[in-house]
Amino acid sequence: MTSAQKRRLADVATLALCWGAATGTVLAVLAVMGFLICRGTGTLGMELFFGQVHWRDALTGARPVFDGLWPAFAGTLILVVLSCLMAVPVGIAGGIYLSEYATKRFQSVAGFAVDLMAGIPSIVMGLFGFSMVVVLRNTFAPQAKTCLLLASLCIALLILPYLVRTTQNALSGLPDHLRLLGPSLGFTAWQNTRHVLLPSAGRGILSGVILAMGRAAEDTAVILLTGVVARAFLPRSLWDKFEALPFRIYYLAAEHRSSAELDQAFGTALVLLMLTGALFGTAFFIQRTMEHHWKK
Amino acid sequence: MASEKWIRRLLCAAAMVSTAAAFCILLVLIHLVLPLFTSGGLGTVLSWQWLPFQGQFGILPMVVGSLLLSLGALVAATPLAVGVSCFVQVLAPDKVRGACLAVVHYMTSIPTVIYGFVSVFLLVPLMRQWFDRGTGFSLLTAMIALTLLILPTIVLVFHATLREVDRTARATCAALGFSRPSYIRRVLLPLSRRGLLAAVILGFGRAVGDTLISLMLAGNAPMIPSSALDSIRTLTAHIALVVATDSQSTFYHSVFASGLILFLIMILINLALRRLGSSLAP
Amino acid sequence: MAFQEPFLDMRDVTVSFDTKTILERINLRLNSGELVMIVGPSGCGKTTLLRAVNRLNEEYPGCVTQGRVRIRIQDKWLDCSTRDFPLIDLRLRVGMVFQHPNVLPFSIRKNLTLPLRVSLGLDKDEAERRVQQALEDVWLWDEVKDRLRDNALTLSGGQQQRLCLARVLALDPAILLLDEPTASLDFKATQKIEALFQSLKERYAILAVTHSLSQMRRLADRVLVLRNGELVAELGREEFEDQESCRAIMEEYF
Repeated sequence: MTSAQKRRLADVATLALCWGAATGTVLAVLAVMGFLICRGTGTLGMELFFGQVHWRDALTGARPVFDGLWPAFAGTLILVVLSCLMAVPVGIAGGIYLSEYATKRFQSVAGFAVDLMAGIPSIVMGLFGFSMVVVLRNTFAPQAKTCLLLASLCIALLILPYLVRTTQNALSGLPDHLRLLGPSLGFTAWQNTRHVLLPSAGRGILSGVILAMGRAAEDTAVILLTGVVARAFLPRSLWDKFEALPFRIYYLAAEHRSSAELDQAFGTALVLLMLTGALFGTAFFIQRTMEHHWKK
Repeated sequence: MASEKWIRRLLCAAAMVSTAAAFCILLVLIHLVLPLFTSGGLGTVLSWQWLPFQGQFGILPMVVGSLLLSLGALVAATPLAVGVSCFVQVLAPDKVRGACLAVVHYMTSIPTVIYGFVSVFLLVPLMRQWFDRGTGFSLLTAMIALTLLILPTIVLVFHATLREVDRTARATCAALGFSRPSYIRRVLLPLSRRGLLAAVILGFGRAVGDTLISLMLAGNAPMIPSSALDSIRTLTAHIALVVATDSQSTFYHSVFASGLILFLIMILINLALRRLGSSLAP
Repeated sequence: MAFQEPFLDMRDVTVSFDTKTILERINLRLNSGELVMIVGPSGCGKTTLLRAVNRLNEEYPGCVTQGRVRIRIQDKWLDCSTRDFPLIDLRLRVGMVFQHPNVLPFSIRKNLTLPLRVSLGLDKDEAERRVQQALEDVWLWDEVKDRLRDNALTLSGGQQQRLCLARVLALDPAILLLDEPTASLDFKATQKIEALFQSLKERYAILAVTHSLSQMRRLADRVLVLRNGELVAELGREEFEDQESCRAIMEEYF
């Protein structure tokens, strides 16, 4: 084979790999989604959510929902809201400090911890929550058990590093002339951050928050160890066990007893996919419009 | 200016939370694993047999399972990711490029449990049919699903490097008469090796840390597999199984040891990424 | 007329970042009602010189400024290069317009009222009053008076830059620092802004940086040539008025 032929062969191989990989990936995603949509769409409806109970009774909690995903849906929503309430203020504040106030040294040390936190497998985060219960049981609270509050706390720790990093990146990505604007108008450091930098980086931070919400909604491993159960109805307090969408999918995949339950599983999976998809879409859109603003 | 000072302190405290939490997790894990060292139970945990009711709590099969699964997925995902990244950056027509990148971004938002769930009902029956052996829940099945899971992570990190390199090199190489494929092979990829390494390490971190794929698809038998069609159990799945089945607390030591091993792996990965000037967070 | 005469006096000002010296022993006086322009090759420290006046360089780590900068307010000389001089007062007396129009993603009105309320602590009515005055000063009032609630990013580049200028003027400064304020604008908008500066130099002392020699000839009363961080020449109006001699001089210094 001549070298020219070899080169042409290598070119063709490169082209084939690139096109093949891209097509294959897109096809795989389409297969995953298509399969779920095919099997799940038929189950969508009031009955999937509330079973035989009227939706008004279910929403007010007047009657418990036995064969619908409403308790799991509500559980996931509560989980997301609670963990965001804990993680968002801390994450944004931490990101502001790292970007605007911290010394190089602090940035590097705290940055390492943030990266490490981002890398900790969620099952280990769940194990941490579980071990806190173990420790509490052995010390001053023998009746301690896993619960909604604990799960939210662990999820909050899970999404915290993402919030810190996206805030930090959104702020430090701002152009220099904007950073100097506040001081040139006589603002103090905090006034500059509060009135100039945060509003300008707002979209980036917001999309980070929404992505973090998606992460909180989808995570299964953390709640697996910190209090999720297959049947709990609506949680009545923070100390209760709870249901959640991702766990319901996992549970039904392994433990479905009838084809009706399997249909429920597909419906639940589709609902979760739509939920995270909507969050992703929102964040993506916000980010696109932001880049339009500052990266001219 | 007093309030300025307090705001600064408050923000600083918030920034410390992550550091404190990372420390806390490490300390709690060490605290719970420590009895193993003092009671001499270390040998029973670092052994090759998991027969809890006969007093054998070895987690080494799970360590091997985790490594095999992650490395396998990595071997499959890396060339795919390189292909996708180069396609997006160099080969794709303008309209396709945006859509393709959006799909990859979207993949990161698909819940892990969905990958697992779809694989149980789509991939597992296929595997059973094709190989006509076993239950279909195997190392190979989990590897395929995991490949799909870590692919977007690797693509996004690698593509960021690729974009920078492409910006500096493209015009020059086009002027020198490189064809696009040979430009990819001779210039782009050699110049972005570091970025690829960082992306692969990051993907490895994702793969080792994943729980749901291996828990739902790998079969969870605590043994050393003799083929890709055998069942395995990973460290993460081990933690989930032992804690969730709520067996006796004598089993817990092995669980905490598994957690600690995972944590230490993450520290190593993080240190490696630091040297490469990359990070686990977005 | 009790006209406040703003003055700026810089003595032996040296600015260095880490170990690199950017400006070396700069001496500069700025009289009231005068527009002084600084020219020089890129990277010679023009922007740093402007930022030495309102001490904006100190926002960066590793910056050391030596020498003395004084401004005169109400017939009193104040040494604003000392550590204990209130930075905020200095920056309110010395307004700055940047190269890129850096409007904030708020409404037009809020872009103007925000610094008034945050830095000066004015009440709502007083801030509103100043908004109109400032917008009239930059000839923007008629163009935007019906859309003060619109996002400022909807304005054209030239309008945005004039809004930035209005934002500074509303704070009632004595000295204006202009850092290539027309560099990112098209020809038409540049023309308008230049005319605006002509009218403003009656009331403010203006120190400006420019890249364009023709703009320098149109606007400047006095020109300072900066090279490698040192002032190498000072030219009066008559020296650069004539196109040929101006070109010859510039050839020599660039």
